Amino acid sequence: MRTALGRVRGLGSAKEGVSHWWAQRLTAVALVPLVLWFVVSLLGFAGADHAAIVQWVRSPVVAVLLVLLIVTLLYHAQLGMRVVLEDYVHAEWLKITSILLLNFAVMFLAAIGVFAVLRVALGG
Amino acid sequence: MLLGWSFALFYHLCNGIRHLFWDAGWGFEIATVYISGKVVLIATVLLTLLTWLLAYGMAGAGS
Repeated sequence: MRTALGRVRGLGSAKEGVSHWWAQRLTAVALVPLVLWFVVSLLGFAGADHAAIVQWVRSPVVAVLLVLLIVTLLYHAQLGMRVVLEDYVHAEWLKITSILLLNFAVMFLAAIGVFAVLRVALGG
Repeated sequence: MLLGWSFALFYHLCNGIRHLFWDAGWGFEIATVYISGKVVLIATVLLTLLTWLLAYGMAGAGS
């Protein structure tokens, strides 16, 4: 997303970051309706039983939206947390290690989350 | 715990929207900053209350 001039002159102290900034805004905009949909949907299940929610997840629209929600949410969280770690962890080794652990944790959670949704949605 | 989480969620959501407005260039005047800040807090409380009232309402009717 950088301009050619920016790339050549290496402008700014960090030298790069526009794509991160844009991805954060993009996921934020996508998350507003996704999260609101999720909260409103869950409200309808207050007092309902396990079978009712399973039926709900089985619906293709719901399953796809849930997967999109999980992935977008985790990506948004990773983007934000990464900046926090980059800015506030000062020891270089600790910064690298914590960002690495963050990335692994996010990947792990994404895998578990998507697998869980798909297993309920596609399982017999 | 859920109450705390839902409050944090709505606060993050409302303030996030406020940030998106800032990204678009709107709302940087100092007076506006304070007003939008208060709007965010009020909206957060309202959304949290609404959600929990609806949840208890549904649970009452369902069970």
